[in-house]
Amino acid sequence: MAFGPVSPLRAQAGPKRVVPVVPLVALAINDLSFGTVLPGIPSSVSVGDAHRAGRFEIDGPAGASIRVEFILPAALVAGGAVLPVSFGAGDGRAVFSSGSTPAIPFDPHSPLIVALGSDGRLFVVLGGTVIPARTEAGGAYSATITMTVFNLGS
Amino acid sequence: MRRRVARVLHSATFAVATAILLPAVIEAVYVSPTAVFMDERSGSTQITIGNGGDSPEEATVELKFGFPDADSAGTPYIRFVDDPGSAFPSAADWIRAFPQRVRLEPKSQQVVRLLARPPENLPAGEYWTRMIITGRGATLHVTGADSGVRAGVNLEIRLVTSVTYRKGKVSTGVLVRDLTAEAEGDSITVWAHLDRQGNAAYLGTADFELASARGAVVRRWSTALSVYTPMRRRFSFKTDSLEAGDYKVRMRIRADRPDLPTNRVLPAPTVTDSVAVRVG
Repeated sequence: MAFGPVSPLRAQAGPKRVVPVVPLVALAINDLSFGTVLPGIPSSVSVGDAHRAGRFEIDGPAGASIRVEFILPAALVAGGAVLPVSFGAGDGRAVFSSGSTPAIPFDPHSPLIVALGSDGRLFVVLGGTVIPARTEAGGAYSATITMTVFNLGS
Repeated sequence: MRRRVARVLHSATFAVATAILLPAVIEAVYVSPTAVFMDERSGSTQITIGNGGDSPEEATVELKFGFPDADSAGTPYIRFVDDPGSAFPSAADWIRAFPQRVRLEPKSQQVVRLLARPPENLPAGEYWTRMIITGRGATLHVTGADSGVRAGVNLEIRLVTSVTYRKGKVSTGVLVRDLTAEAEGDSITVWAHLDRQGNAAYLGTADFELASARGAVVRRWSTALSVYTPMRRRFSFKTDSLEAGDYKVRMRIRADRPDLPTNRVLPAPTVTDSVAVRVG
């Protein structure tokens, strides 16, 4: 094998390593906002929309293995009225801030499994589509997206 | 802590600047450390959770038994078991978090104490649970909806980390078998069956090298690895453009983790294996 020699006891053998305590941080930077939509006309927000796409940032130890899952709503609600919302296979995008790794498109219905880059930072962007009915009642519709970040490395 | 987060958390001066230069932080939850280790000598420890956002958060801390596993497709996930009984080394029933629910003001943090009360006759070994921190606080950013239809989605955040309790003599190791690799498009997928040894979880790093037929290393990857129970694990890597030909995938698993204190990473022999793969 070409790997350099590593003592089996390397983890314990040397002087005690001072490990900086790097927290696991999740930030919601931008809500996914569809703005004003017209009854009967579907409205989409693409992951490339810097202002309206949902945007998260995840920070953690460099190289950390993480799994990101979303719980997505089927509809937004305003009082008793509902506004269907859908998320397609291209509505998720993982962006590494270091730029050395290309962005990864993903289906937000499926888990995203990545190793954080050398700077320990990852951006996750979400788009989606709302489908208002022709008779959609006016109002402020909302729902909640839950993002769960699992630390898989320990 | 990352520079950006540090700005959010600690610097009012920079907060003014970021308000101009960057989007506002709607919600921010953090937990430190990301892996908690306890033992019979220290029956309690503490973690810090915080809110780096601009609005108050209601945060909850929940302990639930679970561990990293892989599904039938080899994809890693956290397997939660509601009633682990005696089949699994669960610490979820006897490690408690205090407090379990806190209100976090903007840019504030809270110490949460973890207290272990293991059964008196607990056998030597390692016991696990997961800690789930949930932040709720983002408010609806949809306004002015008297006549039109306005729509927005709020965001809720959960962080899931590990808590490990060790008693007495613990050991670990990992064995690799049935290593296979397949190249498809601009990616390579490696499969490996991983068997854990000893009575404690294996925490280490998996290194991969892709070498040409002449022995030149053309790609390298590394990822943190944990093996709690036997699993068939899949690793996928982007290769980008590669010349067609025969290659060899080399895998090395070593008990070394730069993100964890050295005295918490159990020693274990380094394991290597390799497999041929054809590209193109």
